[in-house]
Parts: sequence; structure tokens; C-alpha cells
Amino acid sequence: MGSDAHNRLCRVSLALRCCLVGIATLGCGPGADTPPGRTPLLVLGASSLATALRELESAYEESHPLVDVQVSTAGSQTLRLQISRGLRADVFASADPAHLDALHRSGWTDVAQPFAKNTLVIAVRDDSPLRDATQVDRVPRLAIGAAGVPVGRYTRAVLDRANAEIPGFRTRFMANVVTQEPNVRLALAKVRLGQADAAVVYLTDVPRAGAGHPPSPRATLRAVAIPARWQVEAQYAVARLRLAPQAVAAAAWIQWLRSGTAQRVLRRHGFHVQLAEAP
Amino acid sequence: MRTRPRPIGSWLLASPLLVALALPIVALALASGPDELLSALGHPRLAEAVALSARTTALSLLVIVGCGTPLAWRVARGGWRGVALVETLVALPVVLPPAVIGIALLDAFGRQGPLGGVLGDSLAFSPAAVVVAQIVVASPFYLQSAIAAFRDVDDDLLLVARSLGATARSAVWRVALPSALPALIGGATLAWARALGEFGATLLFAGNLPGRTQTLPLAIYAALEEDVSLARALALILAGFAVGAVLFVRLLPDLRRIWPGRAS
Amino acid sequence: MSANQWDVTLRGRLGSLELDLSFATSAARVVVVGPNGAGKSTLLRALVGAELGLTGQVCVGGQTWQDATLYTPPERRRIGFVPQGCGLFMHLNVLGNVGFGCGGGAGAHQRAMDALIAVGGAHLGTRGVGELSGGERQRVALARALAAEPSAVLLDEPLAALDPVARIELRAVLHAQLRDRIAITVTHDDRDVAALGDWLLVVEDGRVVQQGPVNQVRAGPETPFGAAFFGVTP
Repeated sequence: MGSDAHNRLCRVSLALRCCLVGIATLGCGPGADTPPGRTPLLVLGASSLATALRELESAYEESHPLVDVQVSTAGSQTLRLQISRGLRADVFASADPAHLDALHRSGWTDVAQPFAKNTLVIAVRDDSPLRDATQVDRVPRLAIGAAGVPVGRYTRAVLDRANAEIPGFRTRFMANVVTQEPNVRLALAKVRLGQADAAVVYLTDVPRAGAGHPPSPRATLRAVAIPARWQVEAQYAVARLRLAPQAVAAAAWIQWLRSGTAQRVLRRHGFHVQLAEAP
Repeated sequence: MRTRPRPIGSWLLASPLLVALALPIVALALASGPDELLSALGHPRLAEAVALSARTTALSLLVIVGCGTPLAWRVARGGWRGVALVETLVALPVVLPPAVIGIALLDAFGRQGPLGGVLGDSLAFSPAAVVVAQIVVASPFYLQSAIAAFRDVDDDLLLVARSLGATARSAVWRVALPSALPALIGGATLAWARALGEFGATLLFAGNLPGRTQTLPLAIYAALEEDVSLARALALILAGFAVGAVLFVRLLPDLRRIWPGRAS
Repeated sequence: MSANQWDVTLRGRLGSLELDLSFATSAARVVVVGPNGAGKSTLLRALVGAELGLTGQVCVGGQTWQDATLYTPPERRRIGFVPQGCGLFMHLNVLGNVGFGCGGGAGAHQRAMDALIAVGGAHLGTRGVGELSGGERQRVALARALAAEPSAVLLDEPLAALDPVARIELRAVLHAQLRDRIAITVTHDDRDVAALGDWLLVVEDGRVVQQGPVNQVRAGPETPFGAAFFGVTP
């Protein structure tokens, strides 16, 4: 065996050692990077809760330093799929009580408990001429949520109410819909990117001053209020998973979510209030 | 003197495709202002996502090359039962939608799955799950390249090596691998790029946990929901890596020529 | 122990060819001729030790490499093999190729240089394989085979791809290098037969149809192919 082959063997063993180190740093399980002594708590949340959940996460960890809250957000359908495949998460927070009921009936979660409400608004760019929701069916390009997504279903309920008052409204509106997104935030992004002129989203999705993130200068949005008589209330609910590895911690977190501190955070992000007038 | 006629026809046909390929990258680069880019570059999420993507893809690549090279060799040599089956398996992840692969991984490693008992279903939603998803979707790109390259190795070359005193294994190391090396490197680069861009299976199987499983593509998707300029910056970075990888593969023959000590 | 330098019996089936290659001789240098696809290259590969599934016996230079109970792998047979097309390693330069079988020790480099000088290729040293002409490649391939100090040398159409001038030069080199060696050469050229062989095999359809001293077979071919090859009416 020449020195050539010997060098190669050295390189191979070095690579193998790096591999082992790499594996060690990655580890397995949600608690992988959790410092010893802290309990990991895996919360699955709908996309519309993303910003609020980030603040809730740090608020909870401040008062409960022994718990490491980990938040994974995705579309409700994705989350439901993961849970019904036996994913070992602790808590599921969804914008759709129907999803949670279905999961409860099939035995994946405990009974769902409401913790916040949300309302819909029409999000437009700052320079849009739209001021009145009753004119939205004339906006050229509209973005809404897909029918299977919570915000999509709420949107259609609002459309039904509008149509009862203004015949033909729904047909005109749907004719201008250019995209039905699987995720409410993506519908909003379409307006930001200029691909759509208006989107029906949650009140909490439209950034407000002091809500936690600075608006990007090129894409300032504002919300056009939907008349109270058309409005639907989106009920957010939370449930503990049957397979939760941290059942006790999960129950404690759910209880906290429905208590004063968390509710104040949620209100600050726009939940739990009806939008009476345009901001 | 008559000048040569220009091949207008083929260029006319080719141009739409060229435009379609170039447009996204160019538009991406032009859409962000430099100040937006700079502020986005300092975002903590970016560093987290890049670091996670770097670690996971490096590990995936190591496994793909380490386990895939011997497998490709065995498949290329052939002569055993089930070669055709393995070749089909290798091609499968390319044709399956990533979401399907994600669901399949959830099933495989969940409690009810075949490996549920072994790993105690703690694999999902972990950084290791990211690596597994990347390995599954990216290994075909390396394997198919390696199998083709190994098939191209002349049997006579190996026989000569052995006649000169090399054992069968030594002949593979000293002759087959070096002669297949350019194709192996090219395949590995493509596999790495595919692993880097992996989204659907990762989202389903590893979840969207910032700092733990939120790789660069997932971070782009998440950023799109909140801060478009951050999404653009991340997208530009990812595109930069991809362009770099493709350029590297393309320039590889030229690089080998100027490599000191080795003659082509 | 046979006094023969070559004592070979190989039988088996390879693809569509039924092989029965047997020859024995006390002469050291053997030349093989035959039509394309007759099994000449297969014979060489089997002698090198490629696993072709052929049964029989191979005794070369008093060493038994294969019989009913024994099978020596190629790396232990100490053979110099130059296949068709030279089989040079493209990822190594000339010296890297020539020194491939010399081991790593102190004298390895010197042995490689000596072999290269012996074939008249000293000036090729650190050139890349891709830059060589046909004749230069043959020299390097031959040097590589000889540098490992083989007990026997196997050459498959060594001069086929060369122009007439290079052919004459290389033939002289081969003649000099093979003079005191056990060797077997496959060729399509009658002049090679005269210069490089003492014992001649005519192989057709996987069988040795005629063998004998070179001059005898050349004067009296027993098959139409042989007749056409040597220009003699049978």
C-alpha cells in the first residue's frame, strides 16, 4: 500500500470524526438544544399567531425560567396533519375551533379552550383609493385565504352576509380574486409585493405602531374596516395534545395563556378587540 | 468573401428559456436596495438560519457521500439480485413531491411507524430530522451521478491496477475513485444544493422552529409573512449559494488543470 | 512440475462464446493471432486473473496460478499487463503511472525511472498522459508493466494504434525488452509474429485451432484464417 492510499485513509478517518462531532451537536428530539434542567415545551401555532406567540414565548420564559418554550408555526392544515400522524408536541393553538374539535373527536387532543378572538379587515397599501369596505368588490386584484383555511372560511362567511345586503356582491368579489392562499400571511404578502391590491386578513395581521415590528418603508399597509353587520368573529382555541410529553407543563401554559399577562400581550397585538373604526 | 450565416433560428428558440432562467435571479438582485439588504443582513434570524442550513447540509452531504459512494459502486458493478430494485429506489425521491416525502417520514418515524419503537418517536421536529429529510431528497442527485461515473470506469483499468499489485479495494481507491472524481464532485455539489433548498419535507417532518429546524428556505417563507425585505435578503443569499455551487461544478475541469502537481 | 514455461487449460462459457483455450510450450515468448472476437483478449484477461468463471489450470514459469483447488488473485501473480488502448491512468502523470506497481519504498522512484529509460521514454517524466502521442503511450504502458518486475508480460495488440514509423521503433523496443522474458503477445501483424514470438497460437471461435513453433505454423497454416494471415495456401 503506497503513501497515496495511506493519506486517503487518514482523510477518511478525519472525516468520520467530524461526522461524529456533527451528529453530537445536532442531537435528537425537540429538547435537543434545551439546556439541562429546563423543560422543553413544544407549541404548534397557526400562522396568524406567529408574531404574538414570539412575544408570549419570551414573556412566559421570563416568569418561568425552567421552561423552554419552542414555537413552530405553519398553516393549520399542515399542523393538523402532523398531529394526526402522532407528532409528539405539547400544545396546539388554532384559529379554527372546528379543526380542534375534529382532532378531539379522533382522540388526538383534549377539549379545546377558547383564548382569543379576532376579526377580519381588508388590508391595502397606503396609496390605495379604497376607504369603504362596501366598494371592495371593485378592487381589481383580491387575495383571500383558501376555502380549507380558517381565514378563508371566515372570509366567505363575511361575503355571504355582504351578499344578503348587496345582491351580486359575492360574485363580483370572487371574480376579482387572483389568489387563494393556504396561509393568511401569504395573502398579506401578496399585497405587500404588489401582486394583489387588497387582501382579506385578520385585524392582527396588519402591522400597527407599537405592535412589535417596524413597518418596512416600501410596503406600508393600512386596514379598511369591515362593517360590524358583516363581521364574523374568529374564535381562537387552544388544546393540549394527548401525546404531550410535558402534559403538566402544557396544562400550566394553557392556563397562563388565558390569564391576565398573556391576554394583555394578545390585546396589544390586536386580538380580543373589535375594530370600531379605521386606525 | 462570404461571411458565415448566423444561427438565428436556434437563438430565437432558445431565448425565451434563457430569459426565464435568468429573470428571477436578476429581478431578485435588483429588487432590494443596498440599505435594505444591509439592515436585513444584521437580522438574528438570518444568522440562525444560515448556521443551521450550513450545519445540516454539511452533515447530510457527509452521509450521502460516505454511504452513497460504496452503494453507487456496488450498483455500478452489478451482478447481484435486486440491482434494478435499488436503482428504482434511488430514483424515487426525485419523482415524489417533497410533501409526500414529509408525510412518509412522519409515518415512518412516528409511534405507529416501523422505527417508532427504536427511536422513541423523538426524531420528528429535531435538527436530526432536518438532516434525514435532506438526505432522502438529495441523495438521488449524488447517487445517479456516481453510478454513471463508476459505470464509465474501464474494467481493464482495474485489471491493470490489480496486475500491478493492488488489491481489489486498493484498485477502487487508487484508480476507480480518482477517475470518477469530477463526476462525483459534480454530483455531490448538486446534492448539496438540493439539500440546501429543501422545504416541503423539512416543514412537515422537522417543523418550523427558529434556531433548531428553521433552515434558510423555511426562514424565507416565514419572513415572507412578516418582513418582505428580510425575505428578499435571505432569498438572495440562498440564490448566491446555489449560483456558487453551479459555477463550481461548471468550472471544475478548468480548476483541475491548474491544480499543482497533477496533470490532466 | 512441468518443464514448460506455459501450461494453460481454460474452459468455460463467456457470453455467446464457448471457450476451450489450451496450450503448452517450453518456449518463453508466445504470440497469439486470430480473427476479431475469437477470444484472444479474453485469454489474456484470464491469464491476468480476471474472474471470468473459467475452470482449468494455469501454470506459467513453473508457478501454478490456477487449478482445481487454487486460484491466485491478480495482485499476487506478478504480471505485467498492457491491454488494448494501453490502459493508462489519466489522473496520474507518466511517472505516477510507471511507478504505480513499484510500492512506496526508497528504490521505487529509481525503478520507475530505470523502466522508463529502458523503453526510451526518459524525457516523458512529468508529462500528463493526455499530452502523449500513441507511441509514447505505448512506451509508458510497457514501462509500467516492466517496472513492477513481473514474472510474465501480457501484451494485447501493443502496436495496433501506431503509425508505421512508430511501429518499427516500438517493435524494436519490445523485441529488446521481451528477449529474456516469459511473454505472450496478441497481434494482427505478421511482422510482430516474427519479431516477438517463439511459439504461435491461432485462436478462432474461442478455441486454439493451431499451435506450434512460429516458423512451422507460418509455413503451414491449417485454417483459412491462418492462410490469409500468412499469405500461404493451406
